[in-house]
Amino acid sequence: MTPDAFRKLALAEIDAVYRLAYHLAPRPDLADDYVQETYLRAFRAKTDFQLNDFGVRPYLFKILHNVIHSAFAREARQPGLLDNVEDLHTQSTDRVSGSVDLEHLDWDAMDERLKQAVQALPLAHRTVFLLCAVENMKYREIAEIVEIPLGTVMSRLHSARQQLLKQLTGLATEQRLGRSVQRDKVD
Amino acid sequence: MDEQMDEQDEQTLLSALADGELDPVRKVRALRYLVEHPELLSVVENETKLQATARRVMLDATPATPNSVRQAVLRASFATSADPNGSASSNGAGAMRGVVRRRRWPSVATAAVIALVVGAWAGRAFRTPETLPVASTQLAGSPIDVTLVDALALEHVDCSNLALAQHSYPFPVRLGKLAKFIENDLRTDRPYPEFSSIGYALQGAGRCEPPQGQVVHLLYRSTNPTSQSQTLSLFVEPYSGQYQIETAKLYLLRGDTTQPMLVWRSDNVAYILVGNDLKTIAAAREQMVRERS
Repeated sequence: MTPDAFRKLALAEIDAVYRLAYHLAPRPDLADDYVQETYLRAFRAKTDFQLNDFGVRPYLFKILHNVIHSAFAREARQPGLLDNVEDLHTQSTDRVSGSVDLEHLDWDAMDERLKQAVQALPLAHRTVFLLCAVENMKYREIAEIVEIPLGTVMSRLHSARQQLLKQLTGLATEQRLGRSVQRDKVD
Repeated sequence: MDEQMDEQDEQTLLSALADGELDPVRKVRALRYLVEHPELLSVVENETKLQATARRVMLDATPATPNSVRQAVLRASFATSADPNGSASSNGAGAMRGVVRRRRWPSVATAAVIALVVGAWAGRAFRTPETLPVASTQLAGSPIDVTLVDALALEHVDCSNLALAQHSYPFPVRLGKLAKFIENDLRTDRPYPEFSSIGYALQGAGRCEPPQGQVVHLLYRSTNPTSQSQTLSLFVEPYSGQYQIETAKLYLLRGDTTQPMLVWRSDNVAYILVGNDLKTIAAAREQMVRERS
């Protein structure tokens, strides 16, 4: 692939790269830096790029992941920020077994809560979840991007979803209570 | 699978089932397992709903990519393309740092703008029905301000890439009073030249941002399906002696960018053509001259 062709393909993905960076960055202004650093590395390394091996979007996501990983690692050397680094590698032990009670959940009325719940996920889980749910990446692509085995992708994804569903279970309970209070008032 | 699966494995596989990520054999086994354990159907349903809702919510919650980021990336791509080695000290890094630190990006074109008065060279590169005065191919000072060369080159690259990236770059045909001005100079009934004969269609047009507010940018894109990333830009500006260019002469500008520029003027209008290669802009220029005559 010629550098110019690569450049055009890469630039066409800027919104997707920014979107992922925005939801992974601790602060929005850091997302700006992550995206710029990602593209800088991509443009420098473009001679190595083979479209057949790896699509442009996963390729950029992989660089972005490394950029963020490096940034968090740098932060880790600062006192008081160790939690963030642990986010990168820790597997959540907070699992929910069996099905959760979401029968009464109004899925259309939970935007803010779900957004907060996603943002509260550990970085490693959030990355995998966003790549799958928002960016529609295949498990195999996620494994390549994050450089983890396929099985780890599956378990992180499942774990992330369970944590989100657990958060939403509380919301479903609130909604159910809210409705019953309203009914009581009407009665 | 079923017998050996502990609870977590089972649910992990059901997640994969909801994502359509299981191979046919495992899919059949997972579905069979689901039939045997119908109470787990809600797990799959919940995860499917969660996936769809999360996608909607997170997409809605994402602001548009800031223009500052977009510009920085475009400039870096532009700068690194001029540095085939892509070294760490390349202009790309400089461009990035410039924006991150809110500094002005130094011009990449100012370093070496060479103005060639096209004469003998022109006959070799392209033929035009207009007879150009013969002048030796000579180095000269740039006939137009190098910062303008730089700005227009960037404008061409940025708009081309934004149009490609966004598919519907907000780049409407909005020329105001300049439309009539251009029509009169081109002697056509439309405020832009037609390049369909060389395989380019008008993508959009608009005024440049100040300080080039009097410059109109017309962006054309290749109609060839295999080369739709190819663009050319025609910048049109009322001429009132602001550049050291003579009528009926054609100037080739080359900076250290990869985009060549052709510059010429009539009595009232200055034209600057920028494209991916000289052959294309020469053909476009020839088409304009032919149309005008």
